[in-house]
Amino acid sequence: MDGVIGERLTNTFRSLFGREDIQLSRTTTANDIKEWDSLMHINLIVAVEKEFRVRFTALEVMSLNNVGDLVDTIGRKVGALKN
Amino acid sequence: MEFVSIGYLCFLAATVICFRISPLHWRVPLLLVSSYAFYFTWNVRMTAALLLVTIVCYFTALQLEAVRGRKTASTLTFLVVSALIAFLAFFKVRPLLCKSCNPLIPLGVSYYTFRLISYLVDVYWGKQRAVREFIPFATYVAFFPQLIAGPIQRESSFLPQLENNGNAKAKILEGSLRMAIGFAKKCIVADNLGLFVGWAYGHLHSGSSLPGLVALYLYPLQLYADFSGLVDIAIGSGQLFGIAAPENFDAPFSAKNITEFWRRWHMTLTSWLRDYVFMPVRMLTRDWGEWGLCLSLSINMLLIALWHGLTLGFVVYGIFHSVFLIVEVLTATRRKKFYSANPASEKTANILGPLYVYHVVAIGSVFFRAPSLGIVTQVFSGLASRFRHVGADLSALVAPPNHHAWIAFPAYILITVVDRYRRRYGFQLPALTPRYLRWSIYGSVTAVWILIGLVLLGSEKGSDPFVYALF
Repeated sequence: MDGVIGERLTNTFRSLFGREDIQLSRTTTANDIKEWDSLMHINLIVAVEKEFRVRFTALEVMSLNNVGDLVDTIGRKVGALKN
Repeated sequence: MEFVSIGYLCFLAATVICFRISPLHWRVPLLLVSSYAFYFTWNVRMTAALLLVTIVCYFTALQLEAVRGRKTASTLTFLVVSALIAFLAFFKVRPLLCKSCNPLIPLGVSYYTFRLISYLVDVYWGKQRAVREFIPFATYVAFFPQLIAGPIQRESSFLPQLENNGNAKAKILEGSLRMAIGFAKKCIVADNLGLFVGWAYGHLHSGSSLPGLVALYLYPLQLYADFSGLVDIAIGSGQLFGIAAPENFDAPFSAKNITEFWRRWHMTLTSWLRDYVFMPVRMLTRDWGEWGLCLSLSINMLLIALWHGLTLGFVVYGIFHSVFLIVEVLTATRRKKFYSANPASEKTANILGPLYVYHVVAIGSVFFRAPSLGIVTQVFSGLASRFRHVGADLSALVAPPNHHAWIAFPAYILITVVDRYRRRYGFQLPALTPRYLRWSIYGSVTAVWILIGLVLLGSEKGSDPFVYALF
């Protein structure tokens, strides 16, 4: 996945799921990664929050449909912090 | 109108014929009218309540879209979803407060309330657009095959199928076969196992451990055959109208642990609770580490248990399963490391897993089936009795009216094999050649249906009520 956010996000995924072969795209969903279940989803959110030093609301997390949505939400949060 | 009745079969057949011969633009209104007619035969006042909540949720969703992103959206969602939960809770709590009231929850309230809550929350979360046309939306909420006991189908998978119901023709045979499996599970397996379980609960004081063993080991099979049979009839009925529904069971007793069992048992309810209860609660408790995880799992499991009824037995049932879920989740990483270092242990665990699961589920099911905790104690204390009167008890167990009930066991094995084939390959019979084979199958299915009709017509008492139709 391209972009700074995409690269850092891919590393977060690889570290959390313990798999170096994970390749993310904007359309990647939980169905594409075997280990990504409801329990791991929250661990992933916590790991992403730590990595990007942001805090998601419940509504933001529940509205996510795929990795593309996650990248956009991170982008908005990080952008808002910089501004 | 019970599912296992000649009345339902006639109603279904008449609706399917009218559906098939109707012009395409009449089909959805026809399904809506027949669904309300079906519900009307149960309860007139609850039919009005169903219409009212449908109208309220239809307009709420449209309003939610108009105010998306504003504070009003969360307030409106909170108010309407709370009202829906209160509506459902009222019927669950009523038997506790009013002893003379009907203890049974009105038909389908749980299922259509869950559908409406998930629809509104999905619109609020922006995962679903509000449905503009009222008739398809009302048909989704009231679709009669899924009204008694689900499965809980999401609007995103149901509504597109309504728009494309020209494919219904190819599913007539598939639906009929699925319904026939459901009838067999219910009438041959569940009802006959119910005779043994009923006998066991009536003989707990016999001084032998046989009634306790029968109550412990046969009830999970009875419950599974009963509920999955009900769902098979529901899914098969829906297929006759070209509506494919999500599966509710995936060989639950082949699960290797309790976590996997709950992913295979009543799947549409557990996935519904995962999305709308577990995930939001887990989000709120994500800073609490493992305590937050344990709390979220416990709340989720307790809600599954209490949905069946507000009794102490169901509370214990929920806590019992929560303990196993929590232990499994907290030890998952360590077990994974251990198994990767000891592959032979993993193989052994995979073989013993289903045995462990069946025993945990069987013990939990005693709290589910027994009418009080006193009876639960009798079942377990009965297990500690010696096999003193086992000969006499065995004779009583297989005496009339139970003398034909043994048929449940070979039937269960046969149906399990057929079900496994269906899950793996589906019923793609129209693709079969040669023609004589296809028409032999059509003929056999017709003969089975005539047989089912004759049995239902000739039966004096009819089939026992479905256990899950009561929730």
